[in-house]
Amino acid sequence: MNNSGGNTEKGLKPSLKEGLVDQLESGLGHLHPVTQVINSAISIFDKLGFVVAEGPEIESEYYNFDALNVAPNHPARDMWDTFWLKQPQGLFARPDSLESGVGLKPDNSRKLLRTHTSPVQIRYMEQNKPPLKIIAPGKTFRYEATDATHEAQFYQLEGLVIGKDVNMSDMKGTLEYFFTQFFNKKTDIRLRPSFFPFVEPGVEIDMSCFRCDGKGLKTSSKEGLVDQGEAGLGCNVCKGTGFIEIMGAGMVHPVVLNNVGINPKEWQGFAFGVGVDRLAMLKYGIDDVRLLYQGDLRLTNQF
Amino acid sequence: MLISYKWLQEHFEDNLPEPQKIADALTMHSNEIESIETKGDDFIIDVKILPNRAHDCLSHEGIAREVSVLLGLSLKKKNIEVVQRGDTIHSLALDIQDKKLCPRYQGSIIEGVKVGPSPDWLKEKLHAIGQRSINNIVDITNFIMFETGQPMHAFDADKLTKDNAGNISIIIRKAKEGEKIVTLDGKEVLLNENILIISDSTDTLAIAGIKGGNKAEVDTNTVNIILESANFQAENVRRTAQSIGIKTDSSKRFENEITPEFAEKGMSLAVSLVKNIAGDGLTKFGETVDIYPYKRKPYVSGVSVGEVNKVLGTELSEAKVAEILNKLKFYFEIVRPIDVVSELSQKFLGAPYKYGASISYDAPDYFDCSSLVSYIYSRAGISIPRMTIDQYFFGREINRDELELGDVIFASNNGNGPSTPTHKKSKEFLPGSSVDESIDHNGIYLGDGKVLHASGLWHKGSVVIENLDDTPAFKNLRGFRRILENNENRFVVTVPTERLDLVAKRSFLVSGNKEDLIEEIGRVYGYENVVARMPEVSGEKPKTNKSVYYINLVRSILVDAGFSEVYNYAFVNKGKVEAANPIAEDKKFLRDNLTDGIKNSLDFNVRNAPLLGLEEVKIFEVGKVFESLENEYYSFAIGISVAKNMKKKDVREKELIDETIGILSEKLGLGLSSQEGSSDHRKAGLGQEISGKMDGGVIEFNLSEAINILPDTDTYGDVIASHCDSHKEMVYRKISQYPFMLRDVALFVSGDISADDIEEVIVRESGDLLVNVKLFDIFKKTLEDGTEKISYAFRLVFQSQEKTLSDDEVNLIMDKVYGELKNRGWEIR
Repeated sequence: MNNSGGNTEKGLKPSLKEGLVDQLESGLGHLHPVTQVINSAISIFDKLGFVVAEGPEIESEYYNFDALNVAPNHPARDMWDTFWLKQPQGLFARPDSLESGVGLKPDNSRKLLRTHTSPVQIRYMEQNKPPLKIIAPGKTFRYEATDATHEAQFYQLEGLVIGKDVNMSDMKGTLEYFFTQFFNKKTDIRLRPSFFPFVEPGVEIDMSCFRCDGKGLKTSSKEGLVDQGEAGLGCNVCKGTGFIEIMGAGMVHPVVLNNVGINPKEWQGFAFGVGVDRLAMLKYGIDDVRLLYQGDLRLTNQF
Repeated sequence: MLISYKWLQEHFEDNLPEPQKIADALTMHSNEIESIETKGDDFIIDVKILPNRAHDCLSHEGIAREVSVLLGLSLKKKNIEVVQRGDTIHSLALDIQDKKLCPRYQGSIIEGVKVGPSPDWLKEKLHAIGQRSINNIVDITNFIMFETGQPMHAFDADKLTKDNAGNISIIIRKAKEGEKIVTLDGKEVLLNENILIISDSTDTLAIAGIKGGNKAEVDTNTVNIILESANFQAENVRRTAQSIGIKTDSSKRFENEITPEFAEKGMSLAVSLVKNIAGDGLTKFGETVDIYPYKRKPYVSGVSVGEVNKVLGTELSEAKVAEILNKLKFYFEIVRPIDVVSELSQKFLGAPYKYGASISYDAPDYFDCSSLVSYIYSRAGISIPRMTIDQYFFGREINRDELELGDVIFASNNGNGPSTPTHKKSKEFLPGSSVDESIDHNGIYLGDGKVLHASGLWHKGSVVIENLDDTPAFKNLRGFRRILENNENRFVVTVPTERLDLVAKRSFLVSGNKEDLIEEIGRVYGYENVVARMPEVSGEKPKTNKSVYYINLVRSILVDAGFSEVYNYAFVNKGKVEAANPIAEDKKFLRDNLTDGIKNSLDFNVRNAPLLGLEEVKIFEVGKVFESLENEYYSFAIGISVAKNMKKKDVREKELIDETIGILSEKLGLGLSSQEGSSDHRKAGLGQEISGKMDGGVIEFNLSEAINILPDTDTYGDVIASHCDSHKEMVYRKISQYPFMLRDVALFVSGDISADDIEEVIVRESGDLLVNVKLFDIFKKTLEDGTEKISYAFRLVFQSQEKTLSDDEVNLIMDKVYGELKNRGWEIR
């Protein structure tokens, strides 16, 4: 698992000198890696004219699901394990049998912890007329058991672009630009079919591996990242495939535009959502997502 | 869904390419592949079926259809043996009491079967995909589900209650409150009125679409059986499965909705397999009883090449799109929409009016006004809303003098004839859009002053063509709308019955639109062929988000002041907002403050202060806290803990906090105070002040409140980028779980030796286990002879990733370090 044996020595010393010690002696503190990732993303998208949008962490079922075309009692709901919040008796807006929330916007929709930052899209589109370009970074929650790659709380960054003729080609270009800037390395992306109720077509985005340049081969990493244990011949970041599964995206579903009062006959665009924690883990080689929420300076002060 | 490669092969004439090739094609054009595993001489491919493809892909046939499309391989024609049916001793009657929850039910009595072990081929197939073989009859039903996607069930007919004439009734009904069933696996389930069940005249036999009961279990003594091949409504199956906590392969398929057309295929395959596996010359096969109250008409959808390219960003030709649709085996025509409208204008004349006529089930036999308009446009490959009021908002407004063939004319017949509702507000298209005067009727303009419309019962009561100026139906005109914006050719596609993802449901635009077809065309064409169009970098300056700006300004000021940022959990053991389904007993609430988390972090990090080389632990957090369901706000808290033991530690900590608040106040231009109500010297002259809550060495402020007071800003400046090493090649070093050990070393060296020189030797000689080295003391001394000497003191931290280090181990390293330092002629003090 960890770096043992001869290859560590070379890795240890430079990071000791350049990292921990120098910075400590400079008297400066450190920003949490998740903050650094979010801020890097904001800087990149700011240059492309994206506005940063925000929304509440306690959301209503309407904004988190219904308006995004995730119908009640539809198996697609299983994609998001949800923390529901206790609320006063009688506040449950919706009989369980209602077929669809589309076009309805109940005042007293059930409250939950947002499972994604996508509801920010809805809130922003209700308040702003197209064309528009936003990113929405923020904290999200999923009701699931925690392990090295899953947390009940984590961060997401949502993006949305709406225009007269914004298409998948623009989506591909924008995301390639982002990853190239973010990983500071020319990055290609690959689109393949996927499904999210709020986009159509929906795609999964894979990016070419920044570690092995998409070749899938093991690199002699000076940081001692090479995983001897798993011993495969391939790159340990992309598991030898040359690609890393990184985000979901797609063309905004017309019913989503319709729900917020934007005429889908005139406007179209794309949306994407990426896990910030995952970006941080990939970029810095952090092996356990839980480390991000321990308040542990042994993590923060490395950055 | 597990797919056996060998099983899949049986669907093709030609040899399949190797499993990885199939996996690659599916991944890039269809569904994701989780894994491929070798099992004996077979390969098991785990396909993660996308939720929208669960209608048609949760079977070997489904995946075979995809493979056939993507790899251009022909599917083998399957001939299901037609079994001779005849009289059985018992007869079967079906009674569906809730047709909405059970759109189709087929039952067949088979008498004289031999229940026994399955033949090897059947056992092998089930075994390959991880299913247990039970007996030949049960195995046949399971096989059919994994083969076709249609769940089946078999009952022992002799265990069912019969009437005096020996006839069996199967009733599909909602359970009675308090009714119970014992399932095949012996679990007792309490039923209620929301649960659909299968029963005979006295007892519950099965929970519809989910699980069979033990009353009519097929066992080795079974001779006569009833086969069920049915369709159950998706939402009800899903709700029931969730409420009783039973999920099965059957419920999974029903809750994703499958076409009732599958039922027929499942039954005929089952009957032929029973004949061949469990039958003999004396086995009697009764006629299949089939109740199928609402058969859906084939769904028609449409798209133009221009629309495809506009969304995908491609330059596909009409021929290319046609080629892809052919690959998909979709039946289609290429039409000029105006021709279709013109052609169909005569076709439905005289069709009776029926208010609320359904397009999927009633048309073209019955129409109301808007269903006629919607139906005709659907045949022209254009999906429009179903309701008159929504069609009004959907079309583009035109004047009367612009009227052309195909335009839609709206009117009000309020007060005339039967009470058809009249509307002012849109329902489905741009919901909530409104018009002053209500609208309830429309028709299609045909030119020459003629209008085609389905006239209400008060007037003609059927589809007619009338003169716009003469007919009372259009006396109160409400406006004119255009649907046909150009005369681009359209592909009018008849959707295959199993592709329910391409059919309209729930509401306009949810599905059944051009976007569904664009996705189909895009995925088969290959998204890898979409060319990236680079965004413009020199775009307009976007609006600055005020809270993002100030949150990061606070962070930046604090990092400059030596504070490090922590993120703690939002879930805590006490607070004001409670999760209905907490992840753990001690994480039931959302935090209402950051102070508690910061205190824990201080305690935790102080223990590691020497490891980190810190004399004071200075941390902060920015995050949301929750006062109520409606009130969440950004808070920030800073905390300081002096690590070393000293007198008046708390006083020193307070001083440091005060100092930090002073810096923050000054740089933010906002008075921050450490005490409620104390107007102190730190007011930055703005007249506004935010007071924090002080608790030991921690202080917390309402940041949202501060942001509200602070002025807007039109640029992030360097606030976002500062302290972000986004382009530095930084790699995290794993945190060790083992304790660290400290050693101090002090040296006395001549003035030309730098701390770096010494540190270099220390680092080199210490080896892997040295994780931190810090210079903590330095002073110069001029000796009597005038030479300058410097004293350096270093603290060395040792730690292993693998074990707890012993004193001896560290001493051994230190001996090596001392030795080398001495070799250099440096004096160790």
